[in-house]
Amino acid sequence: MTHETQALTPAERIARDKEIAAQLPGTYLFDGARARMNYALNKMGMSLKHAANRAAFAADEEAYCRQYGLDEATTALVRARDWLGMVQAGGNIFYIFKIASIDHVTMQHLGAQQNSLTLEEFRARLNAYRAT
Amino acid sequence: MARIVGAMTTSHVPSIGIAMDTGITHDPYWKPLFDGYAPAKDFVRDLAPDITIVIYNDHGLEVFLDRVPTFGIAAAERYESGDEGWGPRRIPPFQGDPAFSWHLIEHLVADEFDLSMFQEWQVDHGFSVPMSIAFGGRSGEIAAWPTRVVPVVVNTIQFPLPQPLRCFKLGQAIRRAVQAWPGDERVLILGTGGMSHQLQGERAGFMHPPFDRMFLDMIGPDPEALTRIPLGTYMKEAGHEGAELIMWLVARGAMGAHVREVYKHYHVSASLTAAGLGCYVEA
Repeated sequence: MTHETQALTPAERIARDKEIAAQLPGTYLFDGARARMNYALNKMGMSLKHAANRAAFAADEEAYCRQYGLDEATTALVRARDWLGMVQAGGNIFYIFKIASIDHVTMQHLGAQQNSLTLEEFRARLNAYRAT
Repeated sequence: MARIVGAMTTSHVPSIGIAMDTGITHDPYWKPLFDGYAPAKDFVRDLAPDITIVIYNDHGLEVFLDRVPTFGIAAAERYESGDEGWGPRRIPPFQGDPAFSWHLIEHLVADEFDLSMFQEWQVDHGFSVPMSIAFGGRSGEIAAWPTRVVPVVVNTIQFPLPQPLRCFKLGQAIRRAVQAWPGDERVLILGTGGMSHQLQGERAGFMHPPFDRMFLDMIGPDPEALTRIPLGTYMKEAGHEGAELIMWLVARGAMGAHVREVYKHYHVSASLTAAGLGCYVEA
């Protein structure tokens, strides 16, 4: 495992951490660039912490997405509940999870779908870590 | 002076709260985890803390991307469990200690830790689940919390996150600030988050028990070694969301140089997260 054995400059430290993150498979480092990529989607997700907004979303999703300024492509991802697509488009898992909660869907469902697995297959994969 | 009497560190997964709140902690899936919590509850009860400083991150209840405090501290009279999108947990409100919080703020800022300050603040699962594990019955049942609380938040959502060493130093500064308080309160440090897990992307579901076990073994005797692990490596070894283990380093920093591990527990998994817990007193 990597340990920092000597003091690095901030630039060196940033470069190192970004390089490690960039090499991770299936990982979308939620840095400043990603936070700017689809601010509207995350803002819409955040708004769903209010029960009245959840009701408005449930009543008319398309109108709700328009109200928050989502573009057509992102609105389509929301409509399809395409969690991986939303993450790739700049969604932060904690904000978009509030959309999932309206459907009473768990994080395991999101994990399974992002891996193109059934829920049962995904749970089996999680449980297999017990042996490691 | 006030005294830090111990620290507990634990994962703070929402589904652990849901398991408690829906009374399914004896179900086969959850039983090993909740059986493992029993000694920690005894540990906390025996410490009888007057004040509990909870180190956690907000997951989109109080903090949105419009303004992200790297470190923050709350100083409210009381803290309600908020609605994160699936309704608030039905638990008693937490009693704050504004005078103690402001004392910490004064001392931390004078000590060059410039935290954001909050007077209106709701707490999410990151705070309430560890509190239920520490102070509640098996299913989190509790009539009133036996401790006042101070929420300390760390940004673990929006990169860049604070460096591991910086988190450890924040803990050390919290320790100095607690010790400068003139009262004789007993203070518990509750560090939360982790252990390995990833929720986003095709790597969602990643866990890494060997890394978690190493971390659990090291945090007592050699936390400095853990502060030298780069943030990127935390992401690699513990997952994009598992990097929140840096909050355990805040808790460890608030303890003295030498600690004794009273108890630890590790279980794979609580939903997508490898669940770890440790109890420490000063050696």
